[in-house]
Order: sequence, then C-alpha cells, then structure tokens
Amino acid sequence: MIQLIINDTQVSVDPGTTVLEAARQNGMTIPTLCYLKAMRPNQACRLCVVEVEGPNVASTVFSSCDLIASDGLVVRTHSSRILKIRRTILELLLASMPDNKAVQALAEEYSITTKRFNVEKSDDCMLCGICIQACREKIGVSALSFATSVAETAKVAEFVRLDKERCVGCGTCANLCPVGVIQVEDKGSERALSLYGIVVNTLELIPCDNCGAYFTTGGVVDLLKARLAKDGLDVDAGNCPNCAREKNPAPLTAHSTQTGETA
Amino acid sequence: MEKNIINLNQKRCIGCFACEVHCKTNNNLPVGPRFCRIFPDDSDIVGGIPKTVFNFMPCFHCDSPWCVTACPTGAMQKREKDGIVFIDQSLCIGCKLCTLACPWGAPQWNGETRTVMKCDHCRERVDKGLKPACVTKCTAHALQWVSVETLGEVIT
Repeated sequence: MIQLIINDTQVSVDPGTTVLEAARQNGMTIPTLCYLKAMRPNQACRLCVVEVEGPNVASTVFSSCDLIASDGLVVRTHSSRILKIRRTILELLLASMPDNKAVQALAEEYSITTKRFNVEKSDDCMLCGICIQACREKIGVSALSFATSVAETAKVAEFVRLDKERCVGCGTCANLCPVGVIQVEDKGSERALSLYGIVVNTLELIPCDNCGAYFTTGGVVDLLKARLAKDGLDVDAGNCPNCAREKNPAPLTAHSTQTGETA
Repeated sequence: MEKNIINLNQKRCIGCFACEVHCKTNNNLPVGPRFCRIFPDDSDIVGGIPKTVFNFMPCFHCDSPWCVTACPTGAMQKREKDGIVFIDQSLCIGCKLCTLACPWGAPQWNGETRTVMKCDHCRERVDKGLKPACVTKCTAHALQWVSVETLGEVIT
C-alpha cells in the first residue's frame, strides 16, 4: 500500500492509483470535466490541478488525473494557490463554452461572476478527446480525429472530425461526451450522428425480426461479430435484446424445469 | 469453483412477479432496466384445469459469456470463485455491445447512469451467505438457489 497525505489526512491506496482516485476513494472532491475511469487520463480540462510536495518534489502544481500516488506525497486539493489557478481555468472554460451547464455550475460553485475573457468563436467542445480515444482504442474504429481548419499549417487541434466511411454508428462517443457536443438520435429507420449541432452521418438501422423495432446498425453487428469470433462465439442479431429475452430458448444448463414437486 | 444457479420450479410459480419487484428494489433500479423477467409460456392442463406456465429469464452466468468477450473495456467480468458475471460500472463506456451480444438480452441499459447494468446474482448478498433477492422473496417458493452439483437431485 502507498501512504500519502491529502489535505492533512493520511490515506493509503493501492500501488498505481492516481492522486485523483486516491482523493475520491477517501471522500474528497476534486472537480473534473474530462475524467473517466474507463479511459486514459486526458489532462484536457485541467480542473483537477492539485498542489503536490514530496520527498523528491518541490511544491508544484500537477493535474491529479494522471499523477500516480507515491509514498510520502503531500497533496493539497483546495489551497489558496490551487483555488486561484482553478478559478482562472474555469474563467477560460466559461469563455470558450459559455452555454455549458456543467461549466456554469462549477463557475457558480467557485463564485465566478464577472467575465474576464472573450473569445471570437465559442462552442461547447473542450477538445478533451474522450470521443476520439473511445472510438480508436476501445471500439477500434478510428472514425473520429482532431482536425484543424487550415490543413498542414496549424498543428493545434481546433475541432473534432468524423470519417463517415469508418463510423459504424455505435453511439459511444455521444454517450461519453461530457459536454454533449456529439449527439445520436434514432428517427424511424435512420440513426443520425451530429457534431457541433450539424448532422455528419446518417446510418440505416436494422429492424428486429420479431417486433420490428429498429435497434442497431449493420456496422455494429459486423464489429460485434468480429470481436466475438476471437473466442469462437457468434451472434444472431435477428431479434432486438428485448425480444431475444422473451423468444430465444433458455440454454440447456438451465434454470427452469417442468418437473419437481407439485404445490 | 462452487457455482450456483437460480432454478424455477414451474409447478409452483404463480406468476406474481415478486421476483422482478424485489430484484428492482434490491438493485435500486430506475424505470427501464429489468435484471430478471417472468414470461408466460404455453398453458398446461393440470387436473383438468388450464394453468399458465411461466419461464424465468435471469442472467444465466454462462461458462463462456458473450458479454465478457464483447466488452471492449474489461468492465464486464466473470468472477473466478463462483462464476458470477458482473459489470464494473465505473469502467463501462456505454457502447451497448454486450446487450446485443447476449443471446438472451440479459445486460440492461440504464438511461440514468448511461451505463449497462446486469444481474449479478445479488453478489453482495451471496457473499454474506444470503440468497439472491428474487429467490428470497419468491412468494410461492418456486425459485430455488441450488448448486450445479445438486441440481440433478432438485429437478428429478
């Protein structure tokens, strides 16, 4: 176990735990917008900054989402220095995403009332890259990527781009997007995926053999078949999950029987 | 590995749905996800009187689960000690591949948490030596919590 001190409290956590997780496991809150336990830390929103001091570290400010806890670390999550930095980050986030509910709530919590910064173009996207990471590393499709408006010249990402040819329409990006910039909507037999409020891809949905409800796309079924094939399994995606439950026969190993004592 | 399953004695089941109700209560489920289901099957004639037969559809906690293979994040796991298949919700990214992969649609989508949830045989109760909520509260004692080894004795 790793022993460290967070806000004057001695805590012990498993090796490999991040400072953010260590604090949360011990009931201390550190605000985040882009952190998800299932994903690699993105360090994009910067709200999780903490002040860290240790045997080999002079007092420094780190993002806690990707800082691995080590023995003897002294962490302060709400010192005056951190609060000042976090307020500035929030002011910048608020300037670039003024309509975002999560940012507004945090700004209120940190009592930010005046607007110090102005940006020319604002949308809700904070370019955290959770959608891109999920699409590439978890789903394995790589349909989303960062892009710039000026090809090759500017290297700084400005927005997220979708490659229609690769997208299977699973909707994971929309599910994970912490600011709701990506939306997925099923209308009749079509699934529409929109980015920044503009529909960027429409996919045909497959109807359920039993009830006729549209429930998934062909691309998702192909992806699933490929994943299952590695363990020698297959899927018959004829019925939607609800109908599969009612109509598909129970396995032989089981679980209900006509025999037995009579009441 | 000591594996237990939930067995339904169809002759005792009266279709009262207490199992579904107590499952939802014990797991604090919102509207939508249902970990176990009771479905009416064909009717039967018992002693000259028609009787509806019910099927119980929980998660079957398969030996080689489709959902575990389908999961891209390792959120869906099978427990070594008793074969219980459960999901670590903090690792679920909501791709819903497991819900499509399962031949019986057992993993359930929770629109409030935006993650998948599923029957885990009430593993917290099982770890305390208790039975799953559905079995404990079955009004007609139709649901039985039996080990795979003694299943043969129970159903003959």
